[in-house]
Amino acid sequence: MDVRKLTSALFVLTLIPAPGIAPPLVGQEAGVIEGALSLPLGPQRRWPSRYPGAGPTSAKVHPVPAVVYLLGNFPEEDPVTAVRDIVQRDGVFMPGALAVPAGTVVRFPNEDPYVHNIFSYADPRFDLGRYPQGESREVVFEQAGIVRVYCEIHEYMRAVVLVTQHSFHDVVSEDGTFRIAGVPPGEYTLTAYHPDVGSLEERVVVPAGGTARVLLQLGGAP
Amino acid sequence: MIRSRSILLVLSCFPSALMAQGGEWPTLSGAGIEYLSQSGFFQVSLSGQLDLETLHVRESWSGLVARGEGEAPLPVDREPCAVCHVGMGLRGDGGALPVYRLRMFADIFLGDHIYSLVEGRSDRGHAPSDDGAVARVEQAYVRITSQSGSAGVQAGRFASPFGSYPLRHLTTVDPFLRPPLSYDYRTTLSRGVVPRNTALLLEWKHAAEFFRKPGAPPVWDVPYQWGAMVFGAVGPVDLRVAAMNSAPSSTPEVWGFDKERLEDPSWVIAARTAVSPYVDLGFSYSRGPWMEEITAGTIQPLPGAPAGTEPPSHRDFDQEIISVDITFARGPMMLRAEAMLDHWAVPNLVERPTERLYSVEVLWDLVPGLFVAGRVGHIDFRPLDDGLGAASPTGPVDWDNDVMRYEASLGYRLARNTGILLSAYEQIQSNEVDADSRFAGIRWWWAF
Repeated sequence: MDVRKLTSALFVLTLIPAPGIAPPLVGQEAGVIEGALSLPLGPQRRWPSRYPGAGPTSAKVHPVPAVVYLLGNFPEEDPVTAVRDIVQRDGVFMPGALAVPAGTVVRFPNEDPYVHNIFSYADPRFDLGRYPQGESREVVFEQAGIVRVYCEIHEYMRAVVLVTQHSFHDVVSEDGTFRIAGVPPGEYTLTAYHPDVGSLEERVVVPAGGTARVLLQLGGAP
Repeated sequence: MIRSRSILLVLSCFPSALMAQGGEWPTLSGAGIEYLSQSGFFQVSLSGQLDLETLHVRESWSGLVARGEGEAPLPVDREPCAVCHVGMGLRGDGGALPVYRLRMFADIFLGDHIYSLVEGRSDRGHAPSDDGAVARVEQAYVRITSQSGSAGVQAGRFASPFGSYPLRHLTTVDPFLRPPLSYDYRTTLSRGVVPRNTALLLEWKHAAEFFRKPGAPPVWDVPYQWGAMVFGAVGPVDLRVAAMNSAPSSTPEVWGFDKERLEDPSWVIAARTAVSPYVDLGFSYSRGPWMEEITAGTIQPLPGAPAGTEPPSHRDFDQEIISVDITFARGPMMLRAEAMLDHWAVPNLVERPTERLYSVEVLWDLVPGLFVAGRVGHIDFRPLDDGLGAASPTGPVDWDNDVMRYEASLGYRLARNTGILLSAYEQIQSNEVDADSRFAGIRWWWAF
């Protein structure tokens, strides 16, 4: 079976509310989810260049933040017209993670004095070709899923784009906190994901006009 | 407020974790098979690549791909014979040759400035053949870099810095199954065979079936030799100076550690710079002994030497080779070109056999993951004076048969770290006595 189709199908499965989860209470005052996520991330890994002359002799793999998002039934939202950027600067994708609703256009401007070649073989499958400083390419992320993005020339570069059918998601900040606002009251599954550690799910109840506070630990002890 | 304290750690077999796996096959680092100390000072990362190939050569061998031995005694002093290979088993249908290549890498870091690589490899030989499987340590070196990381020294066994091909060989940006012609073609000169004089060397190309199969290539694929290298950046130019234990044309048997060879090394100087975001320029030069123990023929004293003078040693004869390359990459297109000039000092010859070589290749990404590539390679063997003066029947003539190679390739990346590559070439010799070659092959690869 085609890996991309399988991936898409499995992602759609994750969007189906788990048994016992009540649908959101539409029409009531929205609530907020605030939380903190601890990750057992160690020091930065190094990436070797095995042949001097083919680039820097070694590079550090830049850490990618975790993302959090809700699973559940949500009211249909207006079509997305947002445009977001993932900049290539100093051989690093900035930001390293982006959470966007489906339909978002993501631009990839190159600010480095050398070419990059951004690609992903997930869904969407794209290859932006080699382009220099001052130029940008863009991709429309239509399908929900988690898309890993790489540079063909600099293997240590990586980023993650979380695409959801709604806007109830966030990128976990450096201090480990996150916030998802405007959530219709109800019971949801909150999912946290990090490309190096994996993912976890936790049920959360959002009160009308209130705040649900969540503490998550992904992977082992930090 | 937390309704439930039960936290499910979702393993990779669960949907929400699997959805991120599209686009990448499993890797050892992804499975957590690496060690990183608490402080990050010490890191050991394991990775590998498996290549499964089926190669087909029309004749019993082409370039460095060989099927069966078919060796025959070299008729060093023989007269020309256009059909003497018949019945010697030196030609015939090569048929399909299944080969594999398993490479395992251990990348070891001690802080930011000490790095070591150990590469173990198992395959069917440096030159793919139907011999049995072999396993060996292909690379093992230590690299120490300066505080800034812009300069350093490297010692051990590693890929020669000569030429542009070692930088991309067996990587995702090498769109062909075989190296460029300059790195994958045998001349009629052999490392252990000495012609009695120029006139006889000029006859060897008429019996190319004998002399080419054991012949020395201008560059042997990617030579993994013992050596030491200093490198650094001078402004925008990346410089490398290396002392390697053998010449670029040397065969794998002599790449191993040998103190005597290292005392009389083959020197390599290489420079590379980006002249624009799209254009890289490279230059490299190598000079060093290329001949090995003489197995056929005799080295005579130099002309004019006093009577009783010892003849030179086989180590006194150098290969001197220069390479210039350029790479242009923009959008879906990548263009590479490399030109070389190769001189061989050969015993008993006054003039050095020389050849000019070039290759031009273009790669085009059609859709994400799908590419086509084409390459043209040419070797122009230069005329050599036979030394007979007015008695010469021909005057200066090429010392080997010129050759052209036309290659095409098609590749598809199934995921970030796995793909399929199909490649074929037609190789045309300038002399009908020398067999044209055809090659086709397919590779499935998985970098894990």
